[in-house]
Amino acid sequence: MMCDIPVEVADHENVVRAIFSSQVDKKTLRKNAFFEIHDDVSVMRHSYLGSEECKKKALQIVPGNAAIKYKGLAIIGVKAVRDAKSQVADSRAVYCGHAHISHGIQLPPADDPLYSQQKLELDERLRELKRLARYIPDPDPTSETWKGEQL
Amino acid sequence: MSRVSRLSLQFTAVPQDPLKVSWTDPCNLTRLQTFAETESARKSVDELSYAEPNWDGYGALPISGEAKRNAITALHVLANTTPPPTVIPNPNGTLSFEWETGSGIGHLEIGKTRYSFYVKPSSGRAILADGDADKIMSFLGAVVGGVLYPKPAEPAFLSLKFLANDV
Repeated sequence: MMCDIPVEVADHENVVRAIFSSQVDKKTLRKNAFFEIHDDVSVMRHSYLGSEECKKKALQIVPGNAAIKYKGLAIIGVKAVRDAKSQVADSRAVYCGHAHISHGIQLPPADDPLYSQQKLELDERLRELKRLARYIPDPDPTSETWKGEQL
Repeated sequence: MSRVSRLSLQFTAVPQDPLKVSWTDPCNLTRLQTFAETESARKSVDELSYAEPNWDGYGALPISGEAKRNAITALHVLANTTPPPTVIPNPNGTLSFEWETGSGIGHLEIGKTRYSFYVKPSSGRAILADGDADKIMSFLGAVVGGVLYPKPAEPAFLSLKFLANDV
């Protein structure tokens, strides 16, 4: 299928992360909001997809644990991500408008933690991204349309 | 002879019990509250049921029974030295205990075989530790308590009574 957006993810773009209940503490993001087991954290290119499409894509994510619920969207500038020393790259093979954030820091092995020095380094990066992102809880999570604050 | 020098002072003092030096006040009410909070944290670990693959929607690994057991043991070990933590499941199949105050951040991640620990004060260098997940010791809690929950300076004595036979 044709994907008519630039492969290059520009500094002025914003990307959005779908946020689930395990990634928030009430209305505050946890640092694991920008962490996955692989170094390719899924985000959406909001500057091209828009809020409505981001919401639709968020609802297509189905956690294996039924207790984990979609809660809202977190938006962050690509330049801010890069200034924090993480990278953003287009990943249209997933779908047009999808991108990945990668931290370039060693990730933990399965079932055990990173050693403390590396863990601290990773956590400080994740805390910085959390600080730079703006989380907007979805006032109507089950709706197909985005009814939250403007992203 | 001056007036002061004629004072006959006696005092009785009860030294602070070093065993009671911990983050909490040595009163029963606080201890009961701590017990309840620890039980609540233990229950939350016990009930964490992230045993399914992809429990977070982003490909997370299941939290293993071993990691949960190690975490519950750690909660009991740490209970006397630090407030109960926030318990967070991680996508790599481990559990994290987190403490955050104005004084800094504490983190203990527990897996199947290893733990990883740090306390990062608001200013200054981080304190780091690593070890076997089934050998978590209470001194980690003491570090968290000491750095993140500093108590106001304690008196050297619990009671001090001056008796002046004057004047």
